[in-house]
Amino acid sequence: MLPTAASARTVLIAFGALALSACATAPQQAATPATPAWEAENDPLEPLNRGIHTFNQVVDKAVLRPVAIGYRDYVPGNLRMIVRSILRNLKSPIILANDLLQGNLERAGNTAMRMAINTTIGMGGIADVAQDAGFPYHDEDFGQTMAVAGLDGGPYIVLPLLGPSNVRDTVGFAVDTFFDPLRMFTAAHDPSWADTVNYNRTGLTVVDRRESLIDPLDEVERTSLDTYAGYRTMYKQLRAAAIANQDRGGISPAAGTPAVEGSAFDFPDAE
Amino acid sequence: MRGLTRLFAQRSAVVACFAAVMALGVMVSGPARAQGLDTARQVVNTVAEVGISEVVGADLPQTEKIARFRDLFITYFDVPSIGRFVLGRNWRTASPQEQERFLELFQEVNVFTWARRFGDYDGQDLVIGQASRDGDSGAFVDSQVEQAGGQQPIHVRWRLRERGDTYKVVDLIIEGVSMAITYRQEYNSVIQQAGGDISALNDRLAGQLERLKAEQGL
Repeated sequence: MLPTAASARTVLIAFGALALSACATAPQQAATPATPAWEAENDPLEPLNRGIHTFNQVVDKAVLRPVAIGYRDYVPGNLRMIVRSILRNLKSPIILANDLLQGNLERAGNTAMRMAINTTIGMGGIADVAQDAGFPYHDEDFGQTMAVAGLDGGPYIVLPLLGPSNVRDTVGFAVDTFFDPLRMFTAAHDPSWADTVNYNRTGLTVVDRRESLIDPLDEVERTSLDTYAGYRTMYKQLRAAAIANQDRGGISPAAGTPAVEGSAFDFPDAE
Repeated sequence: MRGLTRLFAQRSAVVACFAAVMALGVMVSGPARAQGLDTARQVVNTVAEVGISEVVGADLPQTEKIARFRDLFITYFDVPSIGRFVLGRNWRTASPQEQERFLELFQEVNVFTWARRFGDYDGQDLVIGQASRDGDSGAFVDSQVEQAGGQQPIHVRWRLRERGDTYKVVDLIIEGVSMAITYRQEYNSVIQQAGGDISALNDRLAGQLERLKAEQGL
């Protein structure tokens, strides 16, 4: 997802964080023995994370959000749809690989069909014709694949500029970035257009994503008493939903096991 | 059931009829297990219908909408249980006065947070899907909020618990994010940062409530 120069840095961050967290996990676990798993925030780096969170908020307020607002206000909706569709099509090989690694043949077939239809009839993803043909988009990444394989998220990490993550998902992001076909191609052949394409893609990915989050993030910023703790728990919950493939429109009755027992809301001693 | 009757006594004739049908339905089905899911689904349906036709979609001054919404909220949501869940282990260390103050502030912050969004309502439909069992005495009801402009609908999962002969809402899980858990983790963090002092959270909530009211010119 990131251009070549930045991906090396991402990998460094990931392994730096791994190394840091390795020293810091043990006391955290011992300190709170009675906390149920859903409630325990594995966040030994909290002071550092809070600092990065504040930095990210300043950058967001000064640059990212204004750019996203401008993008929404001045770029026509149709064009924004085209941008999103092209970005998704470029990402589809990685999504397909992760569908396959997770052994989910149904979703892999869906992604393969999307790739085939949108790259050809959709002219490189300019139009998401696959959506109308009954192959809706879904996201997938290597962090989720590792989770499906049984890996825990590990300590929470706030990445500079990129925001909430954890050790597993940071590594996953680095792996996805490294194996991205377009990135590998440009790295191997170094065509004259490599930098233009890679930087534009990264820029548009960031702007497209931030634009889609304008309303929800505004809502959090306005209502939360502690945005750091808010984003931390929301990240955990959203990732759990994504790992269970319940992240979009999933309305099946078997929608995973709830994080909290329903009886946690019963207080027989009340009144 | 008394709460239901009290709420509807103040409402228009149409709603009163609807309430009568509701009450009958509940009486006939009783607390029988097999009927539980229907009851839970009916509660969600009532909240959605009354909420849209009598509150957000009604042509009323904002103060009246807020008053009606508060009635709806405290009738169909188990606010004290949600509040206790949200405070978690801090509930036990709080004095009765602090507990009471928290529940009051938590309820009002919720009312005025939702009230701020009344103006955003633009005819969207809430489509109620399936109900499923949640342990021995609970239910989930799935629903979707349709969005304008071809955007994907938002998935909202209602969590309900058996309370007497009906069900009350204890959580809304929006696209996989539980409001109750999110409040709990945020508030717990605020209390921790204040060295375990619940009154610090209450003061922050009081400030937030003031702000919400001021924003709405109240």
